Amino acid sequence: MKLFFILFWLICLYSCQQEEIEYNKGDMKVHIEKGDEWLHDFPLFLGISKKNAPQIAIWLEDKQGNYLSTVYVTHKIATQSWLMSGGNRRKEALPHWCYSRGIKYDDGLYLPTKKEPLTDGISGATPQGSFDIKLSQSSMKEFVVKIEINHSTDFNDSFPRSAKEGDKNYSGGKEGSGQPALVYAADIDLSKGEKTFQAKLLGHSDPQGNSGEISNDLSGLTTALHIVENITVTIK
Amino acid sequence: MKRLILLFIILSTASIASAKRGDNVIVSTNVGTAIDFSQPSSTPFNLQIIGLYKISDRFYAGVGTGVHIYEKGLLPLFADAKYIITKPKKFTPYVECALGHSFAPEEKTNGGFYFNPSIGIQYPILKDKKISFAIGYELQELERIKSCENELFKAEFLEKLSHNSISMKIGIIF
Repeated sequence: MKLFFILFWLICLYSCQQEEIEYNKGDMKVHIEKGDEWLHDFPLFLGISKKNAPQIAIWLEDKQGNYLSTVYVTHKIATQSWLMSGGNRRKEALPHWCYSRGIKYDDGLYLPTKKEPLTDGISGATPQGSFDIKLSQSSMKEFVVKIEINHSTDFNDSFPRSAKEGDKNYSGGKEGSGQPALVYAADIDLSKGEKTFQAKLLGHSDPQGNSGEISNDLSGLTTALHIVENITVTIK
Repeated sequence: MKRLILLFIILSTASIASAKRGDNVIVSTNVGTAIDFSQPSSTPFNLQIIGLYKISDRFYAGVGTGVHIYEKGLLPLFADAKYIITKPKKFTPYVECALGHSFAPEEKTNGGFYFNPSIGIQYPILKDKKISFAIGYELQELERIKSCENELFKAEFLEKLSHNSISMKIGIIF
């Protein structure tokens, strides 16, 4: 009897059906391929650091640049669950997405709070590697998929930890971003019959998070340029 | 398939619970929780039953199963090894390690790796029964499909969760 259970367990183990996202014809897959700098050392204490994945926001805009809806946001920024932020709200994390949403919270900032988090259905644990989002049932024919990505404490010579508030390259202090967030966009036009759309790098967000402006000056960015290998939107 | 695995887990639990206990076999049941240090975090409720075979005077090995409730309910199946650190005393310390996989009976959920090394203490309460308390580290991985829908689209993605916790459990050893 015990041998039967062991064999039955092994059969169950190997034939266990994994739940996966299923795509039908016409569905869209937004694929973010991780780059060499996807995981970044985040200092904890006593010289110990942990590997952190970036914060990510994916949202849709119309062709005129008007914000439509957020598709996906990582958990920490969606719920103000920053690790060791020292009370810093991290407005410099994903400012282009924050200002595009245009929702101002009680403290005057445009980031969700613990008390008013983003709707849970579109937030998720920060992916530790490449991942996909499925979009379906969309009646839109022309729109833009925007993606903003940022590491915290991603300092370099151009955006150092030592920059003081008021300096042009200040990015939130020692618990801040360092190199600013990068913004990518894929122009989707479903009427032309194309099946794959590559997202282009538009530039970087405001290092201090005081506006939603994008700068196309990429000088001064080093490791941030390699967080993502590529971003593609594929029509099934 | 998920119903089949659920049935097997139930049968395994019954089998372990009704195992012929003697000098060489012990059965322990544990109930526990954990402090989760991951984000997003979840406070779990764990219920386990473990059947252990005596390999030597101080070393036991066997299998365990039960129910773990995180964001989703999971059914773990794991190998378990226990080492009694000292000769049996009133309070006898031990180290234990569970290693296995948790299955997810719910739809749109996948189970994942389960690992729980712990250190504990056991105390005799009746002639052949002991109470135990253990504290340790617990890693439980799982995946779930999350979705949201509005007037413009429906979005879905596979969220991979990895819960790193300080576990605490109390149990009875038969």
